[in-house]
Amino acid sequence: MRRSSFYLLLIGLIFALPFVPALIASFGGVWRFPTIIPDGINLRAWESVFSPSSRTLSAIFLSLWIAFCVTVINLMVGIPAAYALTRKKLRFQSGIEAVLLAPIFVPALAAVMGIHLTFLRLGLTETVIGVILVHLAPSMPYVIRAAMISFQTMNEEAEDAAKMLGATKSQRFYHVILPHLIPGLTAGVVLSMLISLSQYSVTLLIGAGQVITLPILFVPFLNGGDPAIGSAYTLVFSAVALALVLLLDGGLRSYYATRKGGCHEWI
Amino acid sequence: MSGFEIKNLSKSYGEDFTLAPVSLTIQSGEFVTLLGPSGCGKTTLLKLVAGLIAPDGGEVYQQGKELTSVPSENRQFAMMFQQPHLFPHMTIAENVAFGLRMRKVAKKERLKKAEEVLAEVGLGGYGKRYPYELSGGQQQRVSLARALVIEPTLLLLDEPFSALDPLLKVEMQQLVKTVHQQTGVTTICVTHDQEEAFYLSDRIALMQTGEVVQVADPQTLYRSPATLAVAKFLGYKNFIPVKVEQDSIVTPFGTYAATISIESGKYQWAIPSEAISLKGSLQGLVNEVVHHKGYIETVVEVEGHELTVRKLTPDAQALRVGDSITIGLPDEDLVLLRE
Repeated sequence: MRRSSFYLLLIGLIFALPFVPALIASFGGVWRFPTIIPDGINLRAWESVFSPSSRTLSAIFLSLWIAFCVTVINLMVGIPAAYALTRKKLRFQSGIEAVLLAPIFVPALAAVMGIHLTFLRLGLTETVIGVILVHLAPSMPYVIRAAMISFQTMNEEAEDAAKMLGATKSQRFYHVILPHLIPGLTAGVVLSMLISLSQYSVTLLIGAGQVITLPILFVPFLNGGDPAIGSAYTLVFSAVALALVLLLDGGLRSYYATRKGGCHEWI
Repeated sequence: MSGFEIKNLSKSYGEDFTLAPVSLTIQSGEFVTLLGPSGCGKTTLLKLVAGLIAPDGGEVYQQGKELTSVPSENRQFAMMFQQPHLFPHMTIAENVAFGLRMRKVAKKERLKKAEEVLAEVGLGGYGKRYPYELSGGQQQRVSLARALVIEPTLLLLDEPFSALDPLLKVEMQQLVKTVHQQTGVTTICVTHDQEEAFYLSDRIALMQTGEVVQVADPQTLYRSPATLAVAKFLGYKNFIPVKVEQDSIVTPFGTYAATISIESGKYQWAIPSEAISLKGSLQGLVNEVVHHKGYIETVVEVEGHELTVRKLTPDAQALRVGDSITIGLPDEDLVLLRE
């Protein structure tokens, strides 16, 4: 076995390990020394998770829908913001950057406490739109950061070259800038989706129990309600997140497969 | 009819740099080089012409039509930069065809055209490759092809050879010269490389500290530099103080008759090192001999003045420090410059 694949396996095991107790717990088993097979295995938790009355599927779709909308808005706002921050000479440049990136350091809940009051007045609480808006705060910094790094690694003169060849502003963006941004932005998109998916407290505060995303559905079970069902949900949630990452990664790979020339220069 | 006209174009960047109002007329089909040391404003001037930066004042005209406020992408110019700036996600053919694609030329037609131009720059058959598969010199050729394919009315070259190693550089210069002769495209080239400027240009506009100080064809520029600073920039080493009195020029080495009328006063006589012969009437002492690639530089002391002589003749090769020799100075078309 090659050394690298050994480490890969090791890291894989370390990541998989925490899921083992969850898996066992989800089958309602009690695993005590010295029994080899956990006692009392049953499918109760899984049946409950996927029973028609559980709302699991609708919660998954709502979570994904919110994550998708959050990411689209992040891209629409984040790319121009990153462009301005890297290409234009702005006054208070570092101040603006600090404010835009602050949500990385400031807990989202702290900001959302204030936002909550405003949203109450605007009638945005208990709505999906309200939840989408608050999910922007913790996720946008990552998209801006990813786009900024992509812009920084791109030579401005390449744009001038395209300009001289007759490319208008939108043509330059589509043909020259975007292809350069895609690899970096993919990282930003993955982070944005995952951050939105895993929000609990701010969703609870703004959604007020009316917007049922996956975390809203399963956290109460983990907090003492029913650990078996909570564990099953944990696995469902992880599977959704993993599927999302694999999908985006696969998309990027197939993009490279069709335009193999690009990856050499970009990576 | 003049092809391209720059009228009082100016640009300043705070107190750091100012491009004085520059005017320059370029004939259709002409190859003009903006030559000068780095920081003289030549690239700024080129970018003003390209429309990549906006001037503080002045206009540019093409065939009498004002272009100053026309965006770069609508000017039908092409530009080559120091770096090739190929688009990494496109094949070589797609790169070359890019300008045509922006002009909505059909795919089949533009790729066919791209292959033709690629063949012209010696890269026939490379169309299906990607930029990273090509060497730096090849990439720069692609960049040239990409500029030519749109049949620009004005070709702008921004030090396109300065990042290449010397042999490739010469090859590219030959290619550009050939292409210019074949297509007759009006060209403005920016360079700090004098050899390059002299080799390529029909005319050279010499720039110093944000000003165009002299515009002339290469031979005239070298034979009669307009100012002392131009002469120094062009590599003149011998400056002898002389006095002009009526019709005679009084030099430390004798008096010459002035062939053209010239104002009386003190001048510096600039003597090209190549124009001094190692046979003549002046007695001198060899102070220094340095062997360069292609010539031997000998410093000879005559009448208390040190003169630099460049030769590669057998008698130059025989010279040793301390030798007593005779030299001859040119006695026609003296270059006299005001201090």
